[in-house]
Amino acid sequence: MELLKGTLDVLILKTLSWGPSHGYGVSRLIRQRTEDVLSVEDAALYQALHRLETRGWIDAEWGVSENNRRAKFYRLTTEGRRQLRASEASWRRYATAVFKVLEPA
Amino acid sequence: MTPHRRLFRLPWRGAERVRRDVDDEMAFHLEMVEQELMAGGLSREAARAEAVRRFGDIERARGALRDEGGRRDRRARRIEWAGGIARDLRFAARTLGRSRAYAAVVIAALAIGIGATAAAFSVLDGVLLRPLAFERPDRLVAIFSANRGSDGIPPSYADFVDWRERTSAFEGVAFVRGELLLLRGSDGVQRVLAGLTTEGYLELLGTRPRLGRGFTEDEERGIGGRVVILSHALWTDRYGADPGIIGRSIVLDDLPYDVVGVMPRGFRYPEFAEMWTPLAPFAQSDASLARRDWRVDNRVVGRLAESVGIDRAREEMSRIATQLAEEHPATNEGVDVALTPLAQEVVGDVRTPLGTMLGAAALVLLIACFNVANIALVRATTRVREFAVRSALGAARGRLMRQMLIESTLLAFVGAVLGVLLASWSVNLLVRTAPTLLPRLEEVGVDARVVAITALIAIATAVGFGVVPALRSTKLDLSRALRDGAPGSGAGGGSKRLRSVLVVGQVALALTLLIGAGLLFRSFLNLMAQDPGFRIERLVTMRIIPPQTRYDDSGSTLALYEAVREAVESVPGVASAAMVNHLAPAGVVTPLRIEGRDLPDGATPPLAMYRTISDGYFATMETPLRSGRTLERGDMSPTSTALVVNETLARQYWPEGDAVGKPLTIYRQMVGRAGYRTPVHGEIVGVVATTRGAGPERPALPEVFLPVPADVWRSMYLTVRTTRDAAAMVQPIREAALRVEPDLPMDDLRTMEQRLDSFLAQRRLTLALLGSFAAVALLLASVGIYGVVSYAVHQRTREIGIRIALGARPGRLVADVLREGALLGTAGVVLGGLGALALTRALEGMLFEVTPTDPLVFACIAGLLLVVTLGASAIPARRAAKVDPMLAIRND
Repeated sequence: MELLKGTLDVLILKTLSWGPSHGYGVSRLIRQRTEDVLSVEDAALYQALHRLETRGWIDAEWGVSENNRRAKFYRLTTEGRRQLRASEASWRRYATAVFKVLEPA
Repeated sequence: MTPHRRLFRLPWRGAERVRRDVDDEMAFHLEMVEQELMAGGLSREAARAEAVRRFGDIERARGALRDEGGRRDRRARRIEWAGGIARDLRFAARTLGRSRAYAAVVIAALAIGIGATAAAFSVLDGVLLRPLAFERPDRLVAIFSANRGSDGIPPSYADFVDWRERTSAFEGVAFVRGELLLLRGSDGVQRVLAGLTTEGYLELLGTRPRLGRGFTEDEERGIGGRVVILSHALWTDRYGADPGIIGRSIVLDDLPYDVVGVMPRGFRYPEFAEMWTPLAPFAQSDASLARRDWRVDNRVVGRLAESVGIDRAREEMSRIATQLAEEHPATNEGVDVALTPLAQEVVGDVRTPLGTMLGAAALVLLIACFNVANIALVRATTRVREFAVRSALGAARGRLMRQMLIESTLLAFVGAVLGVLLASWSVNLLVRTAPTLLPRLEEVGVDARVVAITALIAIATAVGFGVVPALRSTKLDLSRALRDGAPGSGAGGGSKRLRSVLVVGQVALALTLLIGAGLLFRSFLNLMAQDPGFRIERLVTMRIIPPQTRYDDSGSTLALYEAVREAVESVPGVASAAMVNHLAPAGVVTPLRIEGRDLPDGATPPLAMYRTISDGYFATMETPLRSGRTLERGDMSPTSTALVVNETLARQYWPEGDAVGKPLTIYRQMVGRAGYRTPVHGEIVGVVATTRGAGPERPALPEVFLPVPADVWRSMYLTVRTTRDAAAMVQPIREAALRVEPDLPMDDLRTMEQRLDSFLAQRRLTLALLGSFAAVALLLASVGIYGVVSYAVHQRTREIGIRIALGARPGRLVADVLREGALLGTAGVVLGGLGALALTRALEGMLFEVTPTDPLVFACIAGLLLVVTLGASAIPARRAAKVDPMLAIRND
């Protein structure tokens, strides 16, 4: 399924809140969690990751992956954590409101 | 997630590394996907292809990621750089805080140098460089009439009207006339000079009023009530810059005027005008305005038409002038036109003195910079060990240099701030105490432009005195520097030579400045030595202007003059009083006709200044009589033919014999009287000494004196010889005149000393400024010499100690040190002398009876500098002689 606009950022932030990861890890986690319903185009994912890094919501450092390769790892910053909480709250409000309309009376 | 090595916060990397990082990241991702797919059963190639397909638009993504990475990288680098600078600044401040004396001396020297330059520049900028407060001022031209004898006489209104009609070289011309009006208000009566303007005057100049509006067409035609626009100065001084002034009514010459506008600050044309009002209502009641020969107190200004140059305009106006001369021979014969660009007319010729000021200030700044460079060099050598250690620990040379430059920039910046404050204070002082000294001085101030230029100068200075020590002290031979040894290793012979060169430069520059000041001073002395031809002290002068409305004809005017003179003479403290139509340098000119010396047709007749005087004038002025007699009571009649001439005139036309008894014909010059231009066939009854009433700088002119009743002037000067201090007598004299005629318009009331002072004021100021610059330069240069010689002695302490131990006489050592100082001084004097020979040519316009290469001045100043040099070297020399050999040898 296509992602709605703005969703990608909050998904990335949430994924990284479970622990630092590289880009491939994030994409795999999202696929797993949504049981393959949501798929993110990799190009978009990486651009979002870099954008979030510039904004300072996530931090990046080069490390070594599980299979001994050089990889860029991302983790959530304090500011990012704050943004995540705010986004989660507004998403919940949004979803609840929509469901209220869609629920049978 | 398995834990990894963490070094949070990526350090900045170059663009190449950004690219590599992006590629690596994407390559990693693709490989992981590949492996995942291969684990699912695809072949390597298929997995690869699928991974690429899944990624999306790879190349576009790669480009976007690279851009983003580059931006991030640059920002990180900027922050790092700023942080480095901040660190260096803090470090510099701490270091300088420890060497307070060094910092103080450098800052003081720079403050003086930069302050002087900033002040000189701001004066130059305000007076010369800044465009006048008009629109496109380069297209504005002042138009004067001219006749033989004078280049620029005020044009008449009638001539102006014809010019306006006939010219095509100007897109517009306007006329303004100066008139003294009596402003009556709650805070007293004040005489103001108003500019009476014709239609479109303000539009022509292109300046809009700051408050209110300009004149309407009706107002300019004289329809409706009278209106006035105030100058900014009058509005601030008298009405406290109250914006409610618009619409208020003020009383001028007992008539109500509505204030409709206020002009912006700095708008002053004509420069005497304190307010402007339309001419039309005055023209209606004053018939003399329409007279073609009424050429006083008027100005005409024109705006050149597009693509018309001033030369073409000159030609056209000359043609028109010739036409007018043919049409009105009685009034316009021989009257031509003179055009001057408005900027030049307003500013006059102050270019040379101002340029000299700026040049002198720049020299002081240069000397200060050399001084500071010297000090910085010496200081740098004391820090060699510090730099060696830091270098050994891995500091890059560029980093060390940057730090040193920041240190010098900090000093230069602080010096510049102080310098600007100094400049601002001194410029304000100048403007407050002598606002009429230079044209447009009220517009001068230390403003943004000046501050910007000063900042540039400060940076240049910082680089100038910081770069060389930075270079030298960071070029290190580490092993030598770290070894315990003589200080100044790595700053050996080359540095010493450089310092000597700098000091020689300082001496040379100081010499140049001193010679300039010396030449001006000698000129000033020569001027003061000139004989003025009369006694200056205890003389009060003032001008009386009988109002036209009450004193229309010669008879009543003459009676008033007599009454005032009598009243003033009866004031206690007054020895005698007399009248004259003009005081130098003002005056009109009369052609002379001398019997037996006929001129060929068309030649210009000889001219002389035309002065009408009362009896007792020469006695009052205490001007010596050379031969014959002066004008007496018996000569004071309208038909008198007695004339007196001054020595200049007598020697010019009767060089071998006596002028007394010779016939001389002159022509009456009071415009508007029945006898205007009629001849007076007179006889010379006496010759008096030539007077220089306009100061020693103006040339002596031939003058002829005529009794007052023969040609009664519309306004006259009263000269009063007092027995008490002149300044104290001004008020009583004025009151005596007012008792004869209340509200009698009077102006230019001052003592003769004040009059003459004003002529010399500009010269005095230039001399004072140049003199103080030269004194500062001398001080800086002597400190420089002291520093260098003293340091050299310090360096050679061990050597001196050894020599003393080996039996050298102290006298010999002192002589050696003195010789070193003398060598530097002589080199500087010679260099400076050559430089001065070339540069003082620029002063030629300001010198009086002194050549730019006056040997006496050169010799004296050179001698002075050599003495100062020796004196500055004497102190370290004495110290050298007192060196204790035991301490010296043991010392490091």
